[in-house]
Amino acid sequence: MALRFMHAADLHLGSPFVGLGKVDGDVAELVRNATEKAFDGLIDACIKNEIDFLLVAGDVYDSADRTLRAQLAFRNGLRRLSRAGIRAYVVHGNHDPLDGWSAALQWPPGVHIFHGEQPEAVPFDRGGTVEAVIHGVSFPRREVRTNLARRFTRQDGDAFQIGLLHCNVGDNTGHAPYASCTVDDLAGTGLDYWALGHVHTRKVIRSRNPAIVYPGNLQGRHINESGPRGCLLVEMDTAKQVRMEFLPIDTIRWSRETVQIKELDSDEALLRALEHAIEGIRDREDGRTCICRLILEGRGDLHRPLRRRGYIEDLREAARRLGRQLDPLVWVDALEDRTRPPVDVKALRQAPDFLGDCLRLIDKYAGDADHRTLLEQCLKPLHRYLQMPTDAELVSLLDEVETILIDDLLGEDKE
Amino acid sequence: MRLDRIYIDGFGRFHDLTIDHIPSGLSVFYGNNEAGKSTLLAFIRAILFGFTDGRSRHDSTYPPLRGGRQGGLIAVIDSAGNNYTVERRPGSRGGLVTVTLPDGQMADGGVLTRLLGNATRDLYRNVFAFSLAELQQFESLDDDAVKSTIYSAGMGMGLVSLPAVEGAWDKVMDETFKRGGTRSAINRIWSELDELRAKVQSKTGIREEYDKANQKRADLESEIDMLERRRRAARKWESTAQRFIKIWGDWNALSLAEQELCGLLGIGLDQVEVSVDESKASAWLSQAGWKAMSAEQSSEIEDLSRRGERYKATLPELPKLKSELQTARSEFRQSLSELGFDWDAKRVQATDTSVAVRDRIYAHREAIQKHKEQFRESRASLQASAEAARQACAEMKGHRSAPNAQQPALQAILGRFASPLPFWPAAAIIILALGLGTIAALYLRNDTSPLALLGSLILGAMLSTLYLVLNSVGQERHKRWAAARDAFDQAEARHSKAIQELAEARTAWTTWLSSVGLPTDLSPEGALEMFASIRASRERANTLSRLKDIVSEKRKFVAQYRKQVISLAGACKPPFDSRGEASLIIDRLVRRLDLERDIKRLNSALEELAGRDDRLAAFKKALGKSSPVKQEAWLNRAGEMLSSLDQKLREKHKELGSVEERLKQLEEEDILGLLIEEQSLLASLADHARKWSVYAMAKAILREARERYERERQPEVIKDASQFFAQITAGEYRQILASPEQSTLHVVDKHDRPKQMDVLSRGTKEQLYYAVRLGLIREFNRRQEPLPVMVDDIFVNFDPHRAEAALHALLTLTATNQVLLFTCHPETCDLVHQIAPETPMFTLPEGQRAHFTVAG
Repeated sequence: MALRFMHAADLHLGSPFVGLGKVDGDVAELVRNATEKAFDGLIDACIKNEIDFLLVAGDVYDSADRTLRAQLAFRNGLRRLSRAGIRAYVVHGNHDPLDGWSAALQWPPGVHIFHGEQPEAVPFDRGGTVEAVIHGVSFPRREVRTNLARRFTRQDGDAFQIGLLHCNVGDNTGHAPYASCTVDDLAGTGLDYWALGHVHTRKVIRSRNPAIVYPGNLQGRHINESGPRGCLLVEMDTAKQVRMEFLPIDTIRWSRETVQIKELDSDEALLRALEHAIEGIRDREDGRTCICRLILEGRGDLHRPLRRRGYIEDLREAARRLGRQLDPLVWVDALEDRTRPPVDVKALRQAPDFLGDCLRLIDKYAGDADHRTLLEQCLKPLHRYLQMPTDAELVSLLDEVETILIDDLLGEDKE
Repeated sequence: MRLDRIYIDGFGRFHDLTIDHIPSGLSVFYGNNEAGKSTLLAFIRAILFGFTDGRSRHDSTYPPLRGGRQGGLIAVIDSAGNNYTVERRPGSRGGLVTVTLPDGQMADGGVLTRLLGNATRDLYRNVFAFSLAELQQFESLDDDAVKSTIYSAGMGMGLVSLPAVEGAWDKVMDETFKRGGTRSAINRIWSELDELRAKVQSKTGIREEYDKANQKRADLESEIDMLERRRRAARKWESTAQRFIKIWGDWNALSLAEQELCGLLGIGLDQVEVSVDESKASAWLSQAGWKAMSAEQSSEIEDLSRRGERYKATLPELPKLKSELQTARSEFRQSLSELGFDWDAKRVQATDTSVAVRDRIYAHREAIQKHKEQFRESRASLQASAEAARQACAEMKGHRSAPNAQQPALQAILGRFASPLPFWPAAAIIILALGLGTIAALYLRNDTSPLALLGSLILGAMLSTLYLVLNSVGQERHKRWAAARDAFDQAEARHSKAIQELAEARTAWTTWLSSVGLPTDLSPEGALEMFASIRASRERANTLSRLKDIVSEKRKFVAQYRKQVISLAGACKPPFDSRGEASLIIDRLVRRLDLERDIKRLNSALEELAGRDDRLAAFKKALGKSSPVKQEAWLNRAGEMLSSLDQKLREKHKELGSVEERLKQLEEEDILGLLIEEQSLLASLADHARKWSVYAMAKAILREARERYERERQPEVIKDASQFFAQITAGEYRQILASPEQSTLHVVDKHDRPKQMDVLSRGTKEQLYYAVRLGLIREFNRRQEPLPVMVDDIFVNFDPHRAEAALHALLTLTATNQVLLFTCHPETCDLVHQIAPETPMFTLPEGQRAHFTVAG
């Protein structure tokens, strides 16, 4: 018989949105409930699609601390699932390892939480027939640097064999290298489907023999997790062909939008451009509340007024008001000014004057990491408390330094 | 690079003006005030560096005052001798510039930037094209500012003051972050974060409490569960005991009823002792084939029982009734014999003794009575009339003798009636009359007492009166005698008639008697008495007959009753002993019925409490083994247990309630809000940190660039400037000193004495600045295309010697740079003419090349 299951991962229940500034009360409420609402959406989707079981591939909670609220939310969701007669198989990942605090909660029947260390094989049976075997292992602690995938082995029999694992496939995921393994490691186990978690962006590494899939996280939690997020509805037929359907169930979308000021000649034009951008976001994110970051870019005459004290804040408030009026609303979290003065920087850099000297110095620092000691020295007072910016961040900071130097040293009669 | 030709159109006062053949060395542009010197300078800057939009405080836009289209061109020649034309019209971002290359090709502004050695407008304005105004700025500046201004000029920063820029940055940085500060944004956020994290930390403490509370809840729940189970058990004991106690009476009654029934039925009699087990009794009953009586049987028993009283009453009545019957019979016979030998029962019954007959007797009796009365009345009336006649006769003969005289006549009259009537009433009447007369005569003779005297007097009176009366009635007496004789005759006639009618009535009576068969000698009273005897005899006959009936009926009832009872007893299962008196049998049957009913009712009561069949049997068995005393003890114990358990349960429930309440509170305790707040602070922190970092880096770069400038380039500038300064001051000052470390600028006079800026005169300060400018130009010349130098009346405050020296210094520049000297002072023209007679002069506003015409 064919199988129908839901594959989700990285729920990060009880997690705040990272890097989100202050939000208004009603938006705060949405933000506060976003991960839990997305999880509720997952349970709804499971019930609506009449699946056989749900797989959760780790990072149910955002932190090993696992807030009580998050645990209750998870328990309540699974309880709903259990009442609908749907089983759930759960592994924990690096964010919520087994050694984290776990409130003494009673899991509803039909929920299996995998142990740590060694993979377990749990049969899924229907009418006495084992139709699938789910292999899984949880992170016993946060730091799991061993290759867990290699410990999985296929069981004898024709039943579908599914691996449930929180891990990092390959080295280049942009995620912490926990339980790293290779595609070959996974394929070598002989399982039919690898339900993975850890990488927050949906990714089908292999579509068959075996399917190796990251469903991505359920709800984007910061500006770099933009776009639709959700779970995968997976159907496996008797020929072990896998059909996957992505179900976007996030409740809030993150979005980044760039506005060019080059052609803009007035505040009104800028505001119109922002409005256009905000409406574009609203139209794009299929009826979801959005949190967006607007970035002003380009060289133009508007650069100078933008640099005026309080101007960008006023503009952000205006943009926020525009976004608030939309339905669903678009919350303008930040308005970044990355505009440049309308000058020929190349010429300035070659100029025989002091500014030219400064710009050439910036070039030197940007191009050569070895020369950055001076910069790091000057950042020390603050970055004693905060992390030092990375090389990439330093280069981006130098861009702004260049802009400030040009703005402030070039005087008013530029060009 | 030098200017060769200038074409101005529509710029301020200039319109379609060409200034041609500008030499490579020094040129003087002379004109009065408002002749257009500044306008020309502005035009040159506009073509080379772009038109200004008027927003700058340094430049006006010079709209066309005399027509033409604003714009123009400048033909330039670079150091290699190549010709370029730079043409520009106003427009956005300085206006559209077109450069015509030496080969006639057109190019964009990039070529111009190269031609200008990448110099900016500010650099050019401050270093290459300056006026008195720039020199005079020193007046209002302090040391650092002067130095900085000099640097700024040298750095190509126009009027931007580096300290001001740095100051502004410092301010921003201080607002953003200050080491050890509290009010700056980042410091504030830090402390908020610290507070927030402490809060989060404190909230994580709830986990332990939550776990403990959860454990406590589980413990309490299992304790409560255990207590509930014990309570249910105790409740069961209690209810069982209650049932036992409640049913005990019934149970006992059942047992007794069954025993009694056994006894009644004669079952197991040999085994019956003091108390028989209920189960034994019921077993005996079923062994004996006992069946409760049917409804019909029951109602028959009830019927018989109802009639039993009568039966019982009837039995002793029968002998009494028999003797009564005997008596009645003899009494009847006696009554017949009293009536007469010829009377029998039949005749008694047949004789009419009805009221009608009796009425006839009464009628006869009354008729006889009436005629007897009439007879007596007529006789009395006859006697009275005879008396009246005798009296009337006596009166007529005197009253003393009259009675005797009249005696025989009266006797004769009276004799007529003598026969049936006695004579004594008439004699009595006569004696009385004689007595009265005697008494009256005695009273009148013997009484002599006063009272007798008074009476004699009264009697005398009365006798005299009576005498008078007797005298008057004498005449009447005769008449009355005749009347009395008439009345006597009539009475005699009436009396005869009465005698006759009486006899007729007696005859009618005897006739009626014989008609009814009665002896004719019977008086009506006798007849009535006879009739009463007949009626009495008839009564006796009736009584006798009634008694006979009663006896018969009772006998029949008794027989029937007996028969029914025996039959009923025989029909019972097992058959009932029918020996003995029926009333006793029926009493026993009634008892049996009662017992059966009791057994049925009690069994149903037990059934209701315990259930049917097996359960009932088990219950009965348990009952058999228990006793009310035992059960009371159980009940008490169960009650005590229950109240203690209830108390404990209440306590545990209360405890559980508070634990659950706390759990609920803990579940609602949420750090997510704090985490969100933390993220928002971190976001704000990141923004500020970025801002601070940018400024910190900018500052670092600025400093590095400045240090490098001061280290590498400033010394050359100062060296050249020192030379120029010494030249201009004719050796009064030997040297300018600038120390990057000390950040100060000072001069050294000819006596090697260092002097601070503030002790220098205004002119000297201007000369110092002029010298620094020239030093800067030299320095720039070393690194880039030498640019035209334009000075505007800068010698005004110089004394003639120093002015001359300053002009000489300027002339030394002409070896490398084209120099345009703008002036409105003829003496300046003269000075130039004296020192460099070949210097061409252009007059303004015409723009024509002219010969020096010495004013003086």
